[in-house]
Amino acid sequence: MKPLIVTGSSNDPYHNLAIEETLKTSCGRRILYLWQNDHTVVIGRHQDAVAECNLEKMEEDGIILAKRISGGGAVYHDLGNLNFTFIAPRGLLSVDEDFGIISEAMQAFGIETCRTGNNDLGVAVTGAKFSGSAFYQSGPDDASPCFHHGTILCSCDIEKMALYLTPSSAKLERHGVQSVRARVTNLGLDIEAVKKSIISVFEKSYGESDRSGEECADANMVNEAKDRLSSHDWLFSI
Amino acid sequence: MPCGHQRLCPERAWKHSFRKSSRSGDSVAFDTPFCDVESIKTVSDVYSPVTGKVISVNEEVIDNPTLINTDPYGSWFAVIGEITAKGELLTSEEYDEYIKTLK
Repeated sequence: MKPLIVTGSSNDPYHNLAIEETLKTSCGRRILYLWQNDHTVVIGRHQDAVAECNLEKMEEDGIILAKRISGGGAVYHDLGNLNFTFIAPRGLLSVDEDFGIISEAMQAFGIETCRTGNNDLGVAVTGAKFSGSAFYQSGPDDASPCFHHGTILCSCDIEKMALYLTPSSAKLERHGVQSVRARVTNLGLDIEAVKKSIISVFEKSYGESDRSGEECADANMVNEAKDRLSSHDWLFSI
Repeated sequence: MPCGHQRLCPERAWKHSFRKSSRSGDSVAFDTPFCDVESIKTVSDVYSPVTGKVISVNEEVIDNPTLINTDPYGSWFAVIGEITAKGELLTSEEYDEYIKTLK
């Protein structure tokens, strides 16, 4: 079966995370999903929202709190950031290949990248991080679906990022996984151009792919996942 | 029966930073997730080798998950009792032979 490329059309994080989870669950082939969230802080599965972000400031500014099913730390998304998800049966997914695709896509703009931190990507010249990744794997064997997703900072509001990702009280007792601070940078690239470049390298690597909007994800499964991912229980339990 | 990670996984998985488990009294089913572990930004579900009921959860490992690396067999995740079904389980000798076949 040909690989599938899905381009999201919503900027609602709960909807987008639900699409991602549904594509993962029903995955029998390699999928690339490109998507964007507006005005969102996304925390890792085992993080404590109270300890990782400034919830008061977020509420004041209408920033949505979301929690993903993968691990890692808190990130800020706006429309200056592009998210990618590589979904595949475990036996097919290669983190090195995924990073190779993103890196080659950036080379089209004259940007050389380097691996940095714990499986992140930085700009080679400065070492500053422009892409953070996290992973989820499930199932007992190589056919079980898993994914690698990450961010690409193109023109994200980094000042706001710092504002929302600083907890309001530093004296809180911290539970769960703690975020790791990194020096980040925007690439200053047009999001649509970056999408095209990633798609082009993906197809060069894995062959001509089917294309679809997010409607290819089963609507009932998406709605069920969306309700769960936006519930208070999910967001605030660690 | 105490259930957790076998020896190979902790050796391969660098550092476990957090894990989430079923609670005492929960029912678990063979080959379905009963807890998960996080290691270097990767969340993995852990599958139950048996169908039964969670008798107790190892709170010490929840508080200090790196124990999984230093003492995998001592760091059981949950004791599962009232077992009604189980998969094919290996003896410790069979497991030692099995991991020799892996890269």
